[in-house]
Order: sequence, then C-alpha cells, then structure tokens
Amino acid sequence: MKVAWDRNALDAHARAELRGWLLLALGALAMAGALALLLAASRTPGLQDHLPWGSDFFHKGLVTHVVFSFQVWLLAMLGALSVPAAPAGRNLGFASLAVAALGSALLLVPTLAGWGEASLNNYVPVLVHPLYYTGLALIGIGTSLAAARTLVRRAPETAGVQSAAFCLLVALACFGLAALLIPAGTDIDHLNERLFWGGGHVLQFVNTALLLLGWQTLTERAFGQAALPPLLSRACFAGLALAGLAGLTAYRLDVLGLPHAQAFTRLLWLGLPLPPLVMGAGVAWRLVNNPRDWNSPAVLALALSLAVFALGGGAGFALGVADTRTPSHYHAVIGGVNLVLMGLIHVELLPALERGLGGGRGWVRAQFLLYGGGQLLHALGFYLAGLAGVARKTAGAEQGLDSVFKLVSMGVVGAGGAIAVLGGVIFVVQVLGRLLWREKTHG
Amino acid sequence: MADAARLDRLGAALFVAATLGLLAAWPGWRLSDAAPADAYAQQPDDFLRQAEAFVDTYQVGERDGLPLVHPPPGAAIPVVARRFQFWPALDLEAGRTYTLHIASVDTVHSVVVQGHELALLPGQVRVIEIHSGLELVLQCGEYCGLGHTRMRAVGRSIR
Repeated sequence: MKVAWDRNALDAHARAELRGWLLLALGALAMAGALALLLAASRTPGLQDHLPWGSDFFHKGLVTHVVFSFQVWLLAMLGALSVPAAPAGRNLGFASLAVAALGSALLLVPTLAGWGEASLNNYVPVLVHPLYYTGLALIGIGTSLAAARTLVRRAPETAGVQSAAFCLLVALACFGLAALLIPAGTDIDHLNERLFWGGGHVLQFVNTALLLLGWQTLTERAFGQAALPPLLSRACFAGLALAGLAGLTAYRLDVLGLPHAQAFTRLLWLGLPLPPLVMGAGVAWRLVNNPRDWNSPAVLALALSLAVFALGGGAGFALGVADTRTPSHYHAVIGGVNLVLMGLIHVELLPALERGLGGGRGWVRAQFLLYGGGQLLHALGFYLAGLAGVARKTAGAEQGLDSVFKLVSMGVVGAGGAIAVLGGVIFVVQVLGRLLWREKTHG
Repeated sequence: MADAARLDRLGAALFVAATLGLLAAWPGWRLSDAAPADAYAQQPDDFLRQAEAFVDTYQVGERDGLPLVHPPPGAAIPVVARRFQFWPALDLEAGRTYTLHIASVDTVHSVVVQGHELALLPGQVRVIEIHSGLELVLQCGEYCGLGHTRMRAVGRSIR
C-alpha cells in the first residue's frame, strides 16, 4: 500500500498554504527559543535587573514557551500535514491558517505585556487573562478546521491525518465540556487544571497519530516498503481514534473530582501504547532487515525517534509522584514525535515546496544526531534523578541535590538538554531559512 | 500475495480485538463519584483549631519553619493541607501505626501517601491508617498553584 503522498500533486494554492502552516510551526519553535533565552536572562544575576519585565516574567515566559513549543508547533504541523490530504478548494485552509496564526499572536500580547497570573497546570499551561484563553481557542479552532476537512476524503494515505483530526475534535469537545461543567467560583488553579486535563490527555492521541503517520511515511520513503500491511496500519489509526473517543465518557463523572482525573490517566495507560508498539515493531523490522543509509534524514529520523520514544514510553509506566521521572517521560515521547516531524519536513514537506535539502545534508545529519542524542541523555538523566527523589519543576536549592548520584543525574539532564537545544536551533534556523529566503531547489 | 492479505486481515482482527479488550478493562467505565468511606465532614476553621490544639499538646521543636510534633504511637493525627504545605511536621516512631486525619483548609489539594492518593476538598476530612517506616512522604498530587511541587512533607521516624 502506498502511504506517502505524491509530492508533485500539490497545486500552487496548496503549496502556499503548506508554506504558511510550516512558517507558523517553525515560527512557534523560534518564538519558544527566544522566550527560553529571556527565561534564562530573567534568572541571571546582574542581567535580570535590566529586563523590562518584572521578576514574575519567569513563570509567564515559561507558560508561553511551553505552549509554543508543544501545542502551537504540533498543531501547526497537523495543519501542514492536512494540506496534501485535503479535498480541492483552499479557502477553508487559508481561513484556518489565519485564525490559528491570529490566536498564536494573541498569546504573545499578555506574555510580553505582563498581563495575567501564570498557571503551570498540566498539558496546557495558561496566563489567566481573557486574551490568552481567546488565543488558545483560536488556535484550537483554526487547526481543527484545517484537520477536519480531511475527514471527507477516502484514500489510504489519509488515515493517519484523519485519525489525528478526529482525536483533535474529541480533545476540543473535552475542553468544551469541561468549560460547561466546571462550576462558577471554582478556584482558578483548580479550574485551569481540570479545564485542560481531559482534552490535554486526548491531545496525546493526536500527537501519537502524528508519530505513526511520520513513521509510516518515512519508512516507505526510506525502504520502499510500508512499516505495516494496509489493514493493520489502518487498525492502528482506528484504535487511537476509538480510545480517544472513549475519553468523552469520563465527563459523566464530576470534572473536579479525583475519579474523573484518574479515568484519563488510566485511558492513556490502556489506550495509547498498543498502536505505537505495533507500528514501532514494524519500523524496527524494516530498519534491521533492510540496507540502511545513515546519511539519510529518513533513516536517522526513524531510528532516533524510535529509540527516544521507546525510552519515554517505557518511563511512562514507571512514574513517581511529582518527581523528575514525569518530565523524563514527556520530554522523551514528545522528543520522539519531534524527531519524526523533523524528518517529515526534510523528506516530504520542503521537497514538496521545491525547497529541499540542496547542499545542507551535513547540517541535517547534525541536527538529528544532536537533537536525538541530546534528548536521550536529557530524558535518561531526568529519570535517574527522579528515582533518587529530585522534585519536578524546581530549580536551585529547592532541588535538594544532596548526593553525588542526584548531582550527576541532573548534570546529565543539563548536558543532554544543551545538546538537544543546539540540534533544535540548527533545525529551526535551517528550515526557516529555506522557507523564507532560499532559492528553490529540487528535492 | 493471497497469504500476505490473509495475514494482514488476521493481524488487523487481532489488533482490533486487543484494543477492544484493553478498552473494556478501562476503569473509566466503572469509576463513580460516590463519597469515599474514609471521609467525614468538618468545617475548615474547626479542623484548623483542632490541629492547632494538637500541636500545642505534642510539639517538641521546629523543622523547616513548621512546628514539629511527636505524638504517641496509635494517635489520631490531624494534618492541615494548605498552599503549599502539610502542617505540622511529623516525627513518628518506626514500625508503629498511626491514623492521619488530613483536610484542606483553602483550596482543592490531594495527598499521595504510601501509594494511595486521596482528594482533599475543603470541608471534608480524609482518614488513612499508616504504618510508619523510616520516612513518611506526603505529596500534593493536584495542581494547586505555582508552589504545588513544593507541597511535600517528609516525616522522619525515630527508631
């Protein structure tokens, strides 16, 4: 079964829309990177007193850094991947892109103006300000409209995008139900936690569908053979959609209660692992049993995303409570998704825009090795530190690094993070450069 | 080719069966909002006064800015949960049994203790019997504000 789309099938309008989504996705990563620099500056003695923002910028900047580097980047990539799978007619696509881009811009206003209190709740942290919630809603509406248009298509190569689109619609329904069901007067921190809890969990089904879509496409590009036979492949995507849909039934429980929260945690444990396990096995089989070109971005993306995602997936079944095993899990699984999306951009999307690799193959190889290797170290260090009892979301003396084991583990976290950031920066600079300025090249 | 198609159908059928089996095992179908059997109602102000009286009786010192209590084995210990602490600090005797009465006096928290998570809603006291090891960790498991991850208490045990 052919699962990769025909790169030459996109017309000029489709290419313009695809370029727009990629600019939004890469712009989100660039903005997240800029905010990370400001976060570091806001914690640097001597420098922190000269910034135009107050001392509480750290938490506000952290919120928007997370939203841009996770939600906006991943959902904009879903928007980009929906372009080749969309039916003819581009008005809806451009309108969706405009809405999502407006929402993203709105997030920056309260962040940079210092408006609203930061809430570091799970999945979708927020600034408590109407503009911020409006921005998030517009991003959700824009990307879901773009993704939902693919649901009318019937073609084998659209199953992955359709699964992601369906799960995104379920996630939005969860956010909506929570907003309706949470009583007025609920403590704002508890409100944010539960407003984004259920939908945030279902968004992980969207991310997993993107991962499988990437694995499937890159395996076919790298080896000329699909990772899985056609029916089994479609069953994987259908399984994700079905498990995500089951989440809606958790809204019969009190949204503010513990059983509601536990229902979603258990849904991830039971509904999420099987599809990536099966397709991951298919990818591993192809990697082991076929000749591999380790200079190929497709092969590098497949191998590294498989390794990083497997580490994170395994850690997900052995988490502690509020220690750094939790960030180990989510950094690694999202790292695995990011690696495969990086692969899709280099192997599929830029060539579709006739802005392919050209002479930059060495830089591409470097970004995969640095980002993938760095993420492996980063996640491993976090996991070991969590085992030793280091609390998550703490810094400085609060971490209580009172043993050599904890110190070394957190040292590995820092070194791995720095290496991964270097790989990420090279990726963003190179791809943004191709999207904005580079001469057209053929794939 | 026909064999490959048959294998694909079999694989997909097994996958669908496994998915349905996993979803059938999801506790989400069976969970309910019934009030927990270990809970009783008490106004936060009343609970706080009770805890303060307990501290007056059993305080033996201070730890990390909190009063440190050393109650007798078997005692029912009131523990106040509030942003971002469990109050008071505890010194317990290793190998003995105690009963913790834990309640929130401000917003919704939860406490994770010895592998159990209990929701802490203002106005409701949760009761849990604990067997004191060398260390007793109380950790908030419900996001309650920017200091949430600091809401962790380690009770030390005396041999």
